[in-house]
Amino acid sequence: MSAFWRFLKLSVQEDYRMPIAELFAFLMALAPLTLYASGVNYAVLKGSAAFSFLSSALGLAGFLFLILILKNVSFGMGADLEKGITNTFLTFPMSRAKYLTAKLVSGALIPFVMFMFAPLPVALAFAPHFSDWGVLLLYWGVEASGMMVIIGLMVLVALATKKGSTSLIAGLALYFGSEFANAFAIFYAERGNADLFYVLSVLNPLELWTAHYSRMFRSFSISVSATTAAALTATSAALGVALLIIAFMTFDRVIDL
Amino acid sequence: MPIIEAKGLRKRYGSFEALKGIDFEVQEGKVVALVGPNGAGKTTTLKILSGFLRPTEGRVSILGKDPWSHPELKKDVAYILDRPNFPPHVKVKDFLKEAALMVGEAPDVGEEYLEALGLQEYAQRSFSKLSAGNMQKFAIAVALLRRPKLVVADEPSSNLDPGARAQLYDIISKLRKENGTTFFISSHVLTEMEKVADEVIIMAEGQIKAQAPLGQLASSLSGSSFRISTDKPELLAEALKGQVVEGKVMIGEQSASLSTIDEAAKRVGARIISVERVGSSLDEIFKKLVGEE
Repeated sequence: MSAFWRFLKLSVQEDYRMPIAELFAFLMALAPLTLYASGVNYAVLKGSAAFSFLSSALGLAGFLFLILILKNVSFGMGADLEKGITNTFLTFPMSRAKYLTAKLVSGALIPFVMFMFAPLPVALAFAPHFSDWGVLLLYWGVEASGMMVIIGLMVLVALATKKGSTSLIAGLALYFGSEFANAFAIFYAERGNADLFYVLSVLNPLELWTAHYSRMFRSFSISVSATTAAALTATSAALGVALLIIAFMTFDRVIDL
Repeated sequence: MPIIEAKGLRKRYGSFEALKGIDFEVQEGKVVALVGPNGAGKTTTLKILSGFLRPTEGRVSILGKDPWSHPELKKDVAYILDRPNFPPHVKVKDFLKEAALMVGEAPDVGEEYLEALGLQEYAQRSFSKLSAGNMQKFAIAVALLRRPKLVVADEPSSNLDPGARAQLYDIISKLRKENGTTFFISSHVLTEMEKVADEVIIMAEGQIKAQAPLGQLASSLSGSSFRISTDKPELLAEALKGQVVEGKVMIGEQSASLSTIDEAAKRVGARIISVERVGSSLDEIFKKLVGEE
């Protein structure tokens, strides 16, 4: 194993020390039980019904996923920069790019994999005939693209400030700020002006697809075509990738430690 | 070829210039001490050598390569950081094992250094339960387990008790003797550096004030300061334009030499009992160069 894999192993050990991983996996696995309270019978699940089912079944798991990422990026990256632990690791034969890759794999990719698979068995127990796997892939992709934007911004804040607490605050402010702003955007969109809704959907593209599929489930109706939703989701993903590339380039070429 | 070569290194932080165009070389197998007061630019220099900082101007090479863009150098070059820190919840023994594997060594190679530095009893603990001194010792063990060609160390003894300092300097001497390891060490503990350093670089205000072998530096800076025992101190002091202190003639003129003392003694008919060169310790040289009292 190269220095990269050794470092990744240590990062995972630090990010998921007992019982963090176990607790989050357990909570994510049980999160779909909230469906039970809704009393909805999910017999036939295709298209919009499938999307709505996934939104309900995976919503809480997605929130837990966000909390885990906020913790990992702020403590795993910001605090390590702040305390000089990053410098310790960079005294080993490993490039800065590999360091950051390992941190993101440990801090973000592993929680995403947990989010993808941990809640699925319980969710599917509610809907044994679920078969619209395309919608499931779409749901995962949309969730990932929105999260990439938040992660990219948090990493940049962590690199700029070299403080765990600041990047945590930035992540929380970004997520909850976008949720509040989105509520206003929907309010205005229902009254005919959807511009703000579309702009904010780059941060949270799940709202686009919810709007696209939601006519039968929600009181408001914003008509979002699949093409528009796909284009804006792609924009969101591109923004997330761009932010991560900027973070990599900044860390690799600019940041003094 | 020098193992470290720095040419025209400048580092600016905004309008503050931490390094003002320094040049130096470190030859293989030497122990070189970088000394200077706080704010002299020592840590900035070491961070540039470690690839943690990029110089604003100038270039640095270690084993012929730029440390910023060649992280693979760290297989052969070990860095001991000032106030080192480790992931708080990882156990000492786990980190040591992974650290050895990261540099291509056997997993148990670090145990030798744990023992040498008296850290075996802490092996099962996590880093959050280690004192700053033990963290420093552990950083030394982690740096040395790769059997480096060069060790760059920033104040490696700063958190250590006197016993651990002695252990550290024993290890330096041993590695240098057995493996020909080169050491580039910044320190405030000048008297200890004197025991191990071959060469000294003295820095102040972002500039190098002197670089020379310790002995040469001492003799060049002390000039020809001598303490002479003689049967006619007053006469000899007058002839050499010196002073009589506690019955001995003290001369500190830059131009004085053993031959001028001899000539003056013959001229005034004084018998020389002993001549003692008043050498400068590293501390004295340092104070003289940077103007510290």
